[in-house]
Amino acid sequence: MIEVGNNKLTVVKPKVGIYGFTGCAGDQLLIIHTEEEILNLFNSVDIRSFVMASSNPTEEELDVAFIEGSISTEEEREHILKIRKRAKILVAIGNCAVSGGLQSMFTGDNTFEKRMNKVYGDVEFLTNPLEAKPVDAFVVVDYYLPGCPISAPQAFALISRLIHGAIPEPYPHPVCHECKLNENRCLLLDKITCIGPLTAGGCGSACPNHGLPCVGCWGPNEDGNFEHHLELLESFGKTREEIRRLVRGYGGHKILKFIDKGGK
Amino acid sequence: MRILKMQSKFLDVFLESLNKFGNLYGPTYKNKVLSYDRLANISDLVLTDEHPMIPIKKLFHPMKFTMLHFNEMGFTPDYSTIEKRVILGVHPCEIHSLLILDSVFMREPMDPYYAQLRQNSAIIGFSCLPTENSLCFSTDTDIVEEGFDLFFVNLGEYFLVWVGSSLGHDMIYEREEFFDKNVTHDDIQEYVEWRQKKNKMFKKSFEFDSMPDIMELSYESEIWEEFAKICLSCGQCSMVCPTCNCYSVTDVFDVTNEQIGRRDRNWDSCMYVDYSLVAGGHNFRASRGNRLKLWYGHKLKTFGKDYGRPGCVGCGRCVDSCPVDINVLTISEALTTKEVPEK
Repeated sequence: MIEVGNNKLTVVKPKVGIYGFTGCAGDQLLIIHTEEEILNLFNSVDIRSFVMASSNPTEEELDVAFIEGSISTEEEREHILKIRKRAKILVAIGNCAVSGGLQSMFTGDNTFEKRMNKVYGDVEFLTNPLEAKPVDAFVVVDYYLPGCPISAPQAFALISRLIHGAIPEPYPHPVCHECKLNENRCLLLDKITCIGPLTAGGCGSACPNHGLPCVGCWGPNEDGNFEHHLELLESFGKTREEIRRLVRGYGGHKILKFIDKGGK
Repeated sequence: MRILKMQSKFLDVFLESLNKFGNLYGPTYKNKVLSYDRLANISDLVLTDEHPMIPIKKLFHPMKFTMLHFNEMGFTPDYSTIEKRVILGVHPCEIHSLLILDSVFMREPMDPYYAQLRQNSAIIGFSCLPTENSLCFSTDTDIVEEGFDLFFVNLGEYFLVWVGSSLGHDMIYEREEFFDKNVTHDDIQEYVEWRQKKNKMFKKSFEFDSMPDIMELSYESEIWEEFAKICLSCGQCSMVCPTCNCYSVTDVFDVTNEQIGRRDRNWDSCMYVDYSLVAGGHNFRASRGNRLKLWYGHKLKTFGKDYGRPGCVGCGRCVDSCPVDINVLTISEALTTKEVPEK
């Protein structure tokens, strides 16, 4: 909404909540740690709940809820359902919220009970553990801000669009786009198992900038040529299982789903 | 056009003296990759037959820059990238690519960013010998007749220096003592031999002249689908092609409640899925095959209809760069022989 005051058009401060579920809290930390924007953020939105920054949250209606972390307990499941009910817009931030993260590496393989028992034995939990899943396994997500951690330019571009009531802009390009703009030699030319072409860009090609192959932490680039890229990597001497294992760590089952289908 | 002679021993001193005309730019190594950049010292300049990975377009059509700043009252263009520059070590195919980009960006309505960068930059061309994937003999871009202020042909002991503009003339005038007006019959003979030697060094060639017709005849060819199966849509070809010039424009609001922000311009590629996406979710080129056909159409055919010649300048970067061997060579071969690479 736009209001006129002091001869200037200003937008009404949106009510915002920033919530951490199961994860390392690195994405919330990135927001706080972006010193050049954090005061601008606190001045331009009405932060109702952000426990990492202030221990006095007000839990009520929200314009935007930012959700970090996967949903891994019954308590978290109930909490995310409640937040969804009172938030007009819900944004999943970071790899754990978007794709499930490392903790959902084996989600859906029907061994959860067995793995749980092996690690914790026979104990009573304060809240029932669930097999870790991304936020969209439980509620509708309006926007995804992937990353491990999220990128400050992408995060603040989205936040400032939401403040101004504008539609955030998707970036459906592979890691290769930024990688080439960073003038890196393509690792595939040296037969290195890089999954940049299958991975959504936005990270600024953080790993290839240091000569390391992309492991998919931004999740799937939906337009990727999954079928042929797998064949190309196999021609480098990798087995399909080795490639799946590499992908499972970060991009998780969302990339695997595309690999299994051979594309969109 | 005036042609002078300069002994090779004067080269570094002369090039360094050009900083009087603007900041020096040229190919230099960054993380072992050859890249056009600002030269801190003339010793950082790398004059070699290899091309920088990203072509010279990046100095005139920046990868990412802020076009303007806006508020509710209007906007102010941002011309902060514009400075006086002297760009050293520019190969003939690169000069040809700039002449092609001129016809895109400088026809009315002129792009003010490109035009000002162009008007404030001197081009100091340098000859090169063909490398593994050079195709400029096929595309007729191995020699330049315009588009430079000075052009140096390396004949070993000395350079023949073509003076291509009045600015180039001023540059020479400043250090006249380095230049010899007497080009002898022996020098001419040596130049002729150099060209003959160069012409024989090309390892690869393709039917550039017949490609517009072949492309037209092959519009419905199943070959495109074969390439579509292997294309990774990584977009590297667009980034490394000296005549790819597409960009996307995005508005970035400031993190504030006021209506202020900036408009950024970023390199884009027609290989990406959202390139031809329009309102209502319609996509003119959703399929990879159609995207490839558009790209190669520009390089080998339709660009010619709009701008006088097809876009390919034979630099060979697509041959160097594509991880699955889709390039002007394999495409033109496949369309003429039906042979698709297996990779």
